[in-house]
This record gives sequence, structure tokens and C-alpha cells, in this order.
Amino acid sequence: MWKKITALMLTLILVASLCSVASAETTPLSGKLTIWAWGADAEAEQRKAIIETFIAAHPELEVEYSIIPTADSVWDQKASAALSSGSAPDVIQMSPDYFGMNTKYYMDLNPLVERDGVKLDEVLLPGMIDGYYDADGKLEGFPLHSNCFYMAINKDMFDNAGVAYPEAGWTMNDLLDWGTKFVGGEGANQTFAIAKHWVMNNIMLYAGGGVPYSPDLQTCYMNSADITKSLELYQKLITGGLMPNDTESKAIPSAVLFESGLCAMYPCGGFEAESFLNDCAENGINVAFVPMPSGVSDGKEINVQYATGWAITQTAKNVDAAWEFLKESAYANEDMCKATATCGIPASKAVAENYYAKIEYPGFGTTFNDYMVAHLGAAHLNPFGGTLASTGDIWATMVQAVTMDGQTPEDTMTKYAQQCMDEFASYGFNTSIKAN
Amino acid sequence: MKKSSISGFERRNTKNFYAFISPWLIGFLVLTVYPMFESFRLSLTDTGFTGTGGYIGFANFLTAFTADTRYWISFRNTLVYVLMFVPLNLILSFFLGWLLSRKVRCLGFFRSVFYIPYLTAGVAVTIMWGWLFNGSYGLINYVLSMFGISGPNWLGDKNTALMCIVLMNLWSIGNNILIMLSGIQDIPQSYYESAEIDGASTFRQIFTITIPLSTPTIFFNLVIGIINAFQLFNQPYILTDGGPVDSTRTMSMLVFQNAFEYGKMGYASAVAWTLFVAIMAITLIVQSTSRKWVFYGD
Repeated sequence: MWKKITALMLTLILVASLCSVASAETTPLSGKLTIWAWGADAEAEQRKAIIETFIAAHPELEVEYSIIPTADSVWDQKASAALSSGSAPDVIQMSPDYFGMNTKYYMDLNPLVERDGVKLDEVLLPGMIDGYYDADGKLEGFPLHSNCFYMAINKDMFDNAGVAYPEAGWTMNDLLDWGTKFVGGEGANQTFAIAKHWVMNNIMLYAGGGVPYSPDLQTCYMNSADITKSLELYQKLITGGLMPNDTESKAIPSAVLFESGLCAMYPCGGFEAESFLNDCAENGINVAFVPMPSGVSDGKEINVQYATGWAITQTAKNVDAAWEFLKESAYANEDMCKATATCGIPASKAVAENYYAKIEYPGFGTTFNDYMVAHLGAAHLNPFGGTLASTGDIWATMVQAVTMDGQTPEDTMTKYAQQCMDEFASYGFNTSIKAN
Repeated sequence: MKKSSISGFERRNTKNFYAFISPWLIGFLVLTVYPMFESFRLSLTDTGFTGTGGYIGFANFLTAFTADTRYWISFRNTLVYVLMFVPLNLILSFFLGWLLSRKVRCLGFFRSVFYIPYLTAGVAVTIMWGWLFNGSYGLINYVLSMFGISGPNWLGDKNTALMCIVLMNLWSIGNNILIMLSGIQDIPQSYYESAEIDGASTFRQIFTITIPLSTPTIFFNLVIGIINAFQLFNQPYILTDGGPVDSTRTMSMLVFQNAFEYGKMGYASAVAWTLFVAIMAITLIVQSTSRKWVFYGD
């Protein structure tokens, strides 16, 4: 009798444990999921493709989504209104270098990562997830894709000037040396060594070999000798005519300058590669790619990444479905990750290395995307995006002071560095600010 | 009997008055008064991008006046712009309005030509001006080079950038010209006829008849001009982004950047309120002096 009771109890326990395992592995999704994405043109198409792929994979879910343009602050206004009124969607687009980080409106994803045993370093490309952690270790978002830069050169201009193509480790000091050979012409025919792409302010920030602040955002280095060196290099590039100044670059877009054969180098972002290469081909520009420059004092390659991801809002009504969407768009759904590849490096390590890196551009094979995947991990997140924009504007003023107003880097640092320090200290996420 | 019918008529009139004015009144209360109160409430908080913030009293105002170097730079730039643009606007619009009031050939054509820039002003025109002022290959420097003059980098030089914006806006004063023209045309011809009989020259007539009797119109243009000039935003935002070296950063730009780029809604509201107070103060000063120099009818 006792043997039968024991056997029955053991069977019941076994069945119960099997059920709990089953429920942990496959929690059925149900209900409604709301998603807000930002984007226009190609980005909007990409978002739509990603979300529609998720919808097709989950017919049990009712998914409602909106793709909102970012131009004219439309996204900013809608997102801020929704978040502050508690009517935000379950899943909202965000970026570690844009508004949203370090607010109280996004759910900490760490418990979900731990619950599901997600090994982030195995499923995501190195460098993708780092920026989504805030200073306290909270995981505020999950990556969708990212972009960094690859330096395009006009081969004909280099060959005609007798300048060797730059190799890994080249610095802005080197550019000051051989870049003068590209400077010439006047008026509309003026030629330059390097275009003043909008990313150059960020690239030049690191050119001296330093960084603007520590990775934990607790120490600001904007008063360091390396930043002074960066300003000095920038001043020499522009006053020497190697790079257009602010006003000149506003008159002719930097990409057009390169595509017209008027400048020898252009930092090409992953998001613009296809259209850029098409335009160069149409204009007969013979393009090659060389590594991005390195810092003068530390020799580290300088690259900047612009990341886009998703967050689950605190008011989310369907957390399970939201988390499933984040995981699938980041790494778990191959079709979604491949759809992501149209606008940047997918977060999924497998898709980035085996699909994105193999996308070919006519005449370049897989060179461009190979470089993007290999160098993303070391790229700095956009240093003065979103929350840090006010410090970035002071940096832009410092750049103008040395490049357009003839002030010395030292005087500029004396006048503005403390403003950067004070502005940085005023951010709500800084618990203590130390000057370098 | 008669008395009650009059009061009934008056009652109906009053009801009709409120009925007709109510759409505007409701709109004014909901879309102007309420946002103003809300903005003032925001200015007393540290509300950020996501709309939540705690009460901090007048700390935002204190920050603006004592800690934010860009606040006083923006205020100074805005004031300099107002002091340059408004007088030039009045002089030019009066002069052109007077010219257009003369009996000359093709008057209709000239009136259209001076008014069209006002209709076309916008982002595209601003960008076009950016090309004209370009230091390297702008049309203005090209024309100057024909006379052997090497033009500066107009928008890239902190000493000339704000002046360029003044010139851009003076190009599109067609509306003010029209207002001046209508004011000048309202002056009875009999005054000019009497002055001619007395032997007054055209020049003298302008200063003794036209200007004094146009002062109501000039006053209107002055007040509206000051209010609009203090709110300058488009051209510096599009062309120079407040540069070079903050020389074209205006108060409106500061409000916009703090609100929508830095996510400091509370602080932006405080700056907006200081701008409002400044405009109000200057307008009241101009209003109080108007009794001495503005002539209405007799």
C-alpha cells in the first residue's frame, strides 16, 4: 500500500515539475502589444518590415504599431507627451545617445535577461549592448542596430597628388602633413583634404587621444590636455584649408563635396553607404576605403557609433510580449534581424557576421560591411547625444572659437572648459563629478 | 412698456455679443491663457523631457540670471538685433511707403515688387541668403571682388553674422511698407495743398506733415516690430545654429534648445517668461512715451 502511495506521489511530483519547466520554456503570448518606432524613408520601411515579420510569427498577438518621423521634433513631442501622461506604448524606440536614457520611464531589463538566461555576449555583437546600461547598471533598452564609420578616399585625387593611401594607425597629425597636397582651387572649385561631415565634431573630440568623460559618466575630461590637442588639430585643419569651415560646409553638403571630386576623404556612415556609393559611381568617383584615424597620444582608432534600440515602458501592459519582441528583433528571429540589416549593423551576432558582413556593394565586395562589424565594438557611442547635448553645444562653440574666431586652443579651454564641467555636473544621473 | 422692450433689446444684444465672441474667447482661454499659466508652473519645476519634475521655486530663474552664461549672451544678441533692425525697419518702410504714395508710373508694379519678398520669406529663402552671403563663393563677395574688395566670411565672422540676419529681414518688410503706405495715404491732401501754397518744399512737407500725421502708424509698426524682433528664431537657427561662437544665439533659440534639444522644459519655460517680461517692459515704456510723440486726429 505504502509503495503505491509513494509511487503515486513521485509521479505527481514528476508531472508537476515537467509542467513548470514547460511553462518556463514557452510562455504563450497573448493579448495586445503596442509599439512605437521612429523613422522616415528607408528607416520607416525597415521598421515596418521588422514589425510585420514579428506579427506574422505571432498570429496569437494583436499588434498595434506606429512609425513616427523624428524631423521637426514630432517624435520628441509625441514621446514626451505619452510618457508623461502614462499612455506610452508597451515598446518604444529609444537610443542610448538620445532622449530616454537615464529617465524613470523605462523598465530595467536585467531581471528579464536573468529570468530567460540570455547570454548577451553570445547572442549580440560586441559593443551593441554596452551603451544601454546606465551608470547604476540598469539595462534601459535593448539594441536593434547600430552604425559606425569607414573612411572613403578619392583614389584619383590621392594618386594624382602622389600620396600613399592611409594605413591603420594614421592620425590627424599625418593628415596635416600630406593633406596639404589636396588643398587648391578657389570659390566653387576649391578642393579640400577631408569633408566636414557632421560626425567630424565627434571624431575630432578624440583626435588628441583623450576622451570627454569616463565610461561611467562620473568623471568629465573636457578640461584635459588631450582636448586642447584636439582643438589645436581642428584649428590647423580648417585654417589650413584642409577641411571646409562651418559656413562653407553648410553651403555644400559634405557628401556632395566628395561626390563632386572636390575633396579627398569622407567618413562614410553605414546608414548612407548604399546611396553614397551609388552617387560616387554615377559621378565617376574612384572610391576606396581606409581605416578611420587614430588618436595622436593613445593610438586608438577613432570611430563613433549611432545606436538604435527599443525599451519596455514602465506602463507596459503586456511585458511578456514586449520582451519577446525585443529579443526577437535583437537576435532571436533571424528574419527580423535580416530585415534590420537594410539600415545598419543588426544587433544579432550571428546575423551580423554571417549575413550583414556578407552584403556586397558593387566594386567593393563585402569590404565595407566587414569593417563595420569588426570595428563596432571599439566605436565610441555618440558622445554628446540627447541627454548630453548641452555639453555638446558648448564643445561646438569651442570648435568655432578656434576654427572661425581665431582664438587659441588654450584661451578657448580657459573660457569654455569649466562651462562643460559645470554643465556635465548638472545632469541628474551624475552622483559625483570629478575634474581630470 | 417702451423701457422693457429696450432692455429686452439690450439683453438680446448682450447675448448675441457673447455668442459671437465666445469661439474666440474660448480659444483664447484654452490656447493662450491656460498654456501661459501652465508654462509659468513649469518654470517653477525641474521638469525634463519626460514631463515630470519637482517644485524648485525660482531656481530656474536664478540659474538663468547667475549661472547660465548663454542666457546673457542670447539676451545681448537679441537686444542688439532689436536695436539694429527696428529703427532701420521703420526708416526704410516709411521711406518706401512714402515713395509708393507718390504718383509715379508703374506704381502697381513697384508695390508688388516690394511686397513679394514678404510673401516668399521662409526656410528656402533663408537658405538662399546663406548662399548669397557665403564667404567663398557667395554672390555678394563676387560682386565686391569686381570692385577689388575682398568680402569677409559674412556668416562665419562673429562681427558680421548678426548684421547679415538684419539685412535678410530688412529684405522682407513688405507688410510694414504696406501699413506705412496706408497710413500716409490717410493724410488729407488739403494739408499738402496748404503747405504748397505757403511755399514748403517736398522735404519740409515730409517732416512737418507726413511724419507727424503718420505717427500712429509708426507707433503701431514700432510696437509690432519690437515684439517680433525679440522673437527672432528662424534665420539664426537655419543658417548659423547660433554661431559663430554664440554671436547669433537669440533668446528664442535658447528656449527652443533647452526645451527640445536638452529636454529642460522647466528651465526653457523660465527663459521664455523672462523674454515675455522683457518684451512687456519695453512695450510699456514705448507706450508711455507715445503720448508725447503720437498724434491722433486733433
